Amino acid sequence: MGQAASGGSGGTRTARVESGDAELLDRLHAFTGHGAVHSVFTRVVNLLTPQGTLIALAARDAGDAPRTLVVDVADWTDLELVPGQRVTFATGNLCVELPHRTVRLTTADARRWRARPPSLAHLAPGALAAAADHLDRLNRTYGPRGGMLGATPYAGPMETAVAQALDEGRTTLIAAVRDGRDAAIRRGILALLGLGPGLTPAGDDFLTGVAVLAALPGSALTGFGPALKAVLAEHPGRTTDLSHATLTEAADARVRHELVDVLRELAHGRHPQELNAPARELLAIGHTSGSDTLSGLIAGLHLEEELRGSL
Amino acid sequence: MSTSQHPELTPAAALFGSDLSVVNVGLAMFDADLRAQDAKVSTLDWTPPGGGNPEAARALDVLDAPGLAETIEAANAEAVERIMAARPMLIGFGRALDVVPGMTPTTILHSGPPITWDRMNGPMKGAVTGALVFEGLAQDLDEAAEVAASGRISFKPCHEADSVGSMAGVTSASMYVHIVMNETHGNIAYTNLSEQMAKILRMGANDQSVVDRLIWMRDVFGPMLKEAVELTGPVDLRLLLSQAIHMGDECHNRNGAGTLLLFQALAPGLLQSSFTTEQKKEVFDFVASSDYFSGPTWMAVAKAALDAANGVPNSTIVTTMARNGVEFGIRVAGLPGQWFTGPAQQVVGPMFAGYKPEDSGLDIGDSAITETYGFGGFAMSAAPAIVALVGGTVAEAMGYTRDMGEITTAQNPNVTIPALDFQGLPTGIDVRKVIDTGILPVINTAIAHKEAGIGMIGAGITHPPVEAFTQAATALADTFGGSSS
Amino acid sequence: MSTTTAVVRKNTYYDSVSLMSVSTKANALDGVDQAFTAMGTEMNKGVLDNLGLLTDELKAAESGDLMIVLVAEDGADTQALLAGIEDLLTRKAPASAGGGEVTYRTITSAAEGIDGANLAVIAVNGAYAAREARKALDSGLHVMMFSDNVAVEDEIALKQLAHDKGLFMMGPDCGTAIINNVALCFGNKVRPGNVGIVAASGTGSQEVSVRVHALGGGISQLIGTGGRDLSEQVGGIMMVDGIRALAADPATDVIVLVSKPPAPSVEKKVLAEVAAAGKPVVVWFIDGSEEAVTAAGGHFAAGSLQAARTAVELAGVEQGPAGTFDAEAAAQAVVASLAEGQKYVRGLFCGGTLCDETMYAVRDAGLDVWSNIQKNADFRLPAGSASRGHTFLDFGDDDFTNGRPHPMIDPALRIERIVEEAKDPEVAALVMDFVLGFGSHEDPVGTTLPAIQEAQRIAAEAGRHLEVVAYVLGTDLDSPSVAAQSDALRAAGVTVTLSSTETGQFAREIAKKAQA
Repeated sequence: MGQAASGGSGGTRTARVESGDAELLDRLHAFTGHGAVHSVFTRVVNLLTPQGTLIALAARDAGDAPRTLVVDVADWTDLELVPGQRVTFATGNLCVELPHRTVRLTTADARRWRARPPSLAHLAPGALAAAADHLDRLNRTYGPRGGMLGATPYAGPMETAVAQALDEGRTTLIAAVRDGRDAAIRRGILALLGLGPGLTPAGDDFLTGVAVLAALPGSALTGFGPALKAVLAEHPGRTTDLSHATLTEAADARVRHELVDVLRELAHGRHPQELNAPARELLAIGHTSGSDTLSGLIAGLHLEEELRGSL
Repeated sequence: MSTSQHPELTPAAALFGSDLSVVNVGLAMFDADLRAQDAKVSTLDWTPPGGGNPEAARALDVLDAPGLAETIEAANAEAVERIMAARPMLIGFGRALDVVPGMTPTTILHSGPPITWDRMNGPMKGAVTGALVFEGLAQDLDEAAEVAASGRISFKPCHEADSVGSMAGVTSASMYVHIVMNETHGNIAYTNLSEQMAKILRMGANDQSVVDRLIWMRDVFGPMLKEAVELTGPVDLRLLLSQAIHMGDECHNRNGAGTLLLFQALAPGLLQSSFTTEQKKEVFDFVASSDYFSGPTWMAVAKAALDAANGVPNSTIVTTMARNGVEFGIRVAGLPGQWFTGPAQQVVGPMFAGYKPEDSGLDIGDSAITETYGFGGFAMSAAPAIVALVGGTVAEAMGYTRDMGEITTAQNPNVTIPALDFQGLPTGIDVRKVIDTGILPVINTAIAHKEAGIGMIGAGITHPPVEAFTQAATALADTFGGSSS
Repeated sequence: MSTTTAVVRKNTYYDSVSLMSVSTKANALDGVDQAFTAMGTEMNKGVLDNLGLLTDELKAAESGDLMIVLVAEDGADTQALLAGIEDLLTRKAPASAGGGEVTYRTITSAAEGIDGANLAVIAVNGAYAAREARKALDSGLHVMMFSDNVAVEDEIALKQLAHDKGLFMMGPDCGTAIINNVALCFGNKVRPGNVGIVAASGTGSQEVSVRVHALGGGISQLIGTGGRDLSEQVGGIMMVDGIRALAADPATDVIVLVSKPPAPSVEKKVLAEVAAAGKPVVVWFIDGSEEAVTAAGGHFAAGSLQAARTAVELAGVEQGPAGTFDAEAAAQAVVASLAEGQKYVRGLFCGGTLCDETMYAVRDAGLDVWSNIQKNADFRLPAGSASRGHTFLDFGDDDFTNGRPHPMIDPALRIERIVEEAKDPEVAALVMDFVLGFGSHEDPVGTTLPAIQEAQRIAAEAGRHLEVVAYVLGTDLDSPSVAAQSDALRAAGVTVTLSSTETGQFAREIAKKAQA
């Protein structure tokens, strides 16, 4: 570009992993070898492990999530990481090799975070309904439009069409879960998978909300988990890598901490008002991501209520 | 001679003894080099003074001359103190003819700097002709256009009649207006009542439904409000403004909280008024039909406060920003009565379905008085919910308030922003700072259709033209710097 | 009718929030009817297909690809619009409200908002630079002003203001400083140490700092003053303040002054400071005289290498085995290979002081030298005129830079000249410098080598040997390193000298012998 390049400064910069998905920390030692940087955002960097699975490095305030290490950095912009750069996975640390320096992340002192929310099996059906209604109100009041809540007021035809397809997908999926047959549920999942704007398409976020409920012990949404896992295995290219990884984890009841917090509060079974704070945190994720996930959770709670009642 | 004899560190020794922390201005490549050496660096988003206009830079140099600079500082401190100390109270409502100074049955007030009929844009012409029909000065809109062009009508800026008017700002003799008195300094400001809907006179709409609504406002709404304040007594508007901002309004484009607060204050009086229950229900329904009910009220608050600073000698504080749809005009405390103008700008923001940017009329209305006082676009950080309406992000909203701090003189302790740790509104736009930093005031505003008769079609953000500030700076330099140059 | 265009960005990821704001902003671009961005999943493509917007390109998108779909208005320039959207995508995300770094708009607010801010680097157009510097000084910041074309009256006022506040006003037209081991603008990575430099000459001070480093010494501070500081008008305000600051600095044991000879009245002032410094002061007044310096108790240096050597010696540093260059023997070998009529040396420099040092070395052998920076007007060669006799050009001088980046950043002009000089049958040797370090071109040798090879080829085809001599100013810590750049030159048959002083000696010997 005819511009002067920065003179480099050699050496190694070390950053501490503050906390991490406990299951990932346990498995890290199995990942020795070379991986690569997959994608880079302001607050999150995704890495491909030597085995080709996707894990995430989150900045200090980005929060715990499955397959994620939270690192003591404000954000990732300073490091100028570029997708494709080599990452060395060794015991106790991983190294990203940049042209001018090496960034080493040490995992020795990382706090171990558990991604699994508690079961909701002990809750009475009425409590599920009350919680679902309250969450729905919160979502409609504070959730941004553009995803599962419908198009924004002055949307163009493309956004409108996506919103319509999302709505139809939701209807198909809910009917299918109610129906309970595997083939129908798979069709319902495929009607949403990969649909919508954003990095994690809105349809996927919705599926995440349903999936985590279905994966909790004692859930009445029995057919959903196996169907989702099967669809993800059979159609790896239907959605983005990142979304695929998120859904795979959700099908195993492992979701990011904002959603875990909402589910924890649900399991407490206290007054629905207590859901306000964790739900607002959830809504703050991404552009519509949090709201779309919440929409999925609400739909799942209604289904739990219905399906348990019919027993 | 050596400064090292001083017990405390010299600035040079302090520099050598601490970590280097660089403010980088002009060349971004140095930023990367400094970071690579692990030095702290902050690269400015820098703009040349006056946007690179040499005339503006020259004016600035005159105003910066030693001696004069101190005089201006002192004058500005006084002007800002007057603005912040002003305590606007709603003391009543009345017919424009009865209360607005200089009003006659054939006077039409309009927004912005002075403009003649032939130069008015579509929405303003639409509003003028609608008002003439409403006043009975013309049978229909065609005749109204003839009357308007006949020379029998006196057109005058609201601002030159102690008033402000939203959008076209058209105010005629029998319309009811707010009467807002600045209790601290005794001056009074007036402004029209909100017509609530989108298809309204101030947006240039003028069909029979618009005129019918104006008649109802004249016969029922205005008189009932007048009685209500007579019954309840004056309302402290600065207090309500401050509460509304704490509740998430920026009080220019978002008025939900402010409208509830104002209505709460007026409701007992409205209930006790002499009107029928049916009429009271009409009024309640009308207020409930749009959050904008209190929008004009806050404009009058700002006007009452800013007028108190008009005429402070040697002050470079802006006391008016107003647009007539063709020109954007500003006025400055130290040069009373003079307008400095530039072309009205396009407003950028989301449009209602079916409309496109080319449908929009240029920036119009006296509502930028809210930004002149320090709310509206300046207080976007108080109203994150508005960013969707005007097309931005919450981070940008925070940035707007921070940036406005760069061109203002003080923070108003009476009206604060919770999200910024209760920082006061950025108050007292200084012409010198606008030119110096190249940062223009940010204005939140509605978009009217460019044709008469259609109304509001969107909302967004705009800025004054830099020319207005360059002109003002030049005039200030000529006037204040005249003796020394 | 409107037209649909699409871009597919392979494997591109964006935060969904920024993606959304790109959509919003793209929709606001003039000429855009509607714009939509989404990942290229089957379902999203299905929706586009239903709307009749699925182009072949979009069909090929995969789920990891970003799709940008643009419906432009009739007659709109779709290429320009796409470029506009790409620009939105590549634009850096604004600093976030909480936690993120705040971008300031003015020096005053940055000085207020950043805890510990202590220096402003000002590199704006000269017309605005003084204003910004005043704000920085008023905010208590030291100033390094890279900008040039600042009125001398402004320079005096700023330096006086800074002096009154005890602050540094380095510049205008100050290209080099090292403060607390951080190089500002153009500077090299050198070892920290006890030699402090105050310099009115950018590349001169770079050369001294690099030589001190090469000799095993290190730099405490390098304070730039700007080229006009020692003029009669400015009166050396910054150099005097710089000497005093280093005299008071416990980490500095030896002070080196680098400058063109000051105006007489200023020289007196500066030498008074030398006498009062209480520390050894080495003085390299380029092309200056010895007596006054010695009389003031200073250590006179006739060249950059001597300045560095004396400083390191006085600093008590054990000197490493410095490489030496036998200029006379090397020149003998070069001259032996020259053809009839090859008698002149042509110097093509980026660094003004490096040009000076070599040019004066040749002149001191009693030869005529022509240059765009000749003090003697009779031998001055304006930019754009052809070389004559022994010519030494400073490409960093205003006549050449005029609106262009400095040749240390953009060597294009010099590259052209290298080829041009090779065509002249009277040319015996080309002498040039390469300046490494912060601010400089990332690979100056690499970008110039093709021209050097072209020059060698032109000469060889005409049956001549063209001697190419290069000096690489830099350290082993610079990136690229001095060794890497030198090796690349040697591999191309270029003679690499080891200091600016030796470059001058070599050029002088070649000039003497070739012209003889």
